[in-house]
Amino acid sequence: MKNAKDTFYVTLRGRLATVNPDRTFVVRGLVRPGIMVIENEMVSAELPADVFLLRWTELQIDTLQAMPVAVMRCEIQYFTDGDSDNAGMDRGRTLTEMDTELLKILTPQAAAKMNYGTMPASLMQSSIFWGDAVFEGMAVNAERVGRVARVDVTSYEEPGE
Amino acid sequence: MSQNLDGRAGAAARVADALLRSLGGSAVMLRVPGNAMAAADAEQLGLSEPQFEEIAIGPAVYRRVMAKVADGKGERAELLVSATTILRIVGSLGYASTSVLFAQAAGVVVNGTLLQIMGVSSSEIFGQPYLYRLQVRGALSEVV
Repeated sequence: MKNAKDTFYVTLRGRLATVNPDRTFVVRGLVRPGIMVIENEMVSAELPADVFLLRWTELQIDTLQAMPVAVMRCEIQYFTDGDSDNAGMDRGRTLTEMDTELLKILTPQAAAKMNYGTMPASLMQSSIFWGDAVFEGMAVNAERVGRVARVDVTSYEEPGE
Repeated sequence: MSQNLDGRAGAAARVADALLRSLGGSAVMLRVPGNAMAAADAEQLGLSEPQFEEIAIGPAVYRRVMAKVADGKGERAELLVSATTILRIVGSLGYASTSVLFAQAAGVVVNGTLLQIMGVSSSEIFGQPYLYRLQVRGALSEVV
């Protein structure tokens, strides 16, 4: 399952760098595309704005198949304060831009599964695929607006995984 | 000693340092990660962790402000730290500001226990800080 999670993140990260190269943030001196998996980062009291934050939540495994099938729910949270140069009055537009970017990086809804535990990363035999994103309503917290989208990612568990 | 603070602000910092020492001020360690590795997926995938550096900050006074009141919740404490030391670290290590330093820090080590920094505030005079107050919390993994 970790290979599926890693593949999903790296796929979306690569697509985001193409869709919007300007959506970046800085982590310990390194400029990265604006997407991160919360469970893979250092614990922080504050999450960055204008970044797609991936959080893995529910898990279902069907072991009756020849190869077990894992369905993992990924909650993608993002929020923005808008641009301070515009007094934050563009925060609604910025959030809509992030909605659109998320839709773009989630398409196509499949990727070849990779094993990033090896050096270099190796191609596995199966693919991961996911369904349409389910968008929650806009959450408003003072001047900050945000949203959570849910995506169910499906992966075959290969022997040895 | 207060080489980063001038004039009246420097005097306030010296008074704060003396007060911290009189309260039993000791040195605690600020754990700071090294720079992220470029072109390496391992850190972003949780496969490896960054190198950490521990920097002594003091004089500092540690005090509990809230005992453990429920399972799964660590006790809360606060750490009063000399601004003199913090400003020196910010300058010598090239951080843009103290807020960047504390935001990037993995926590503070007090008596061998890593505490997470939950919030930072400062006491200032004439626009310059003379004391930092760190709200810290024990890691949940260490909650018995």
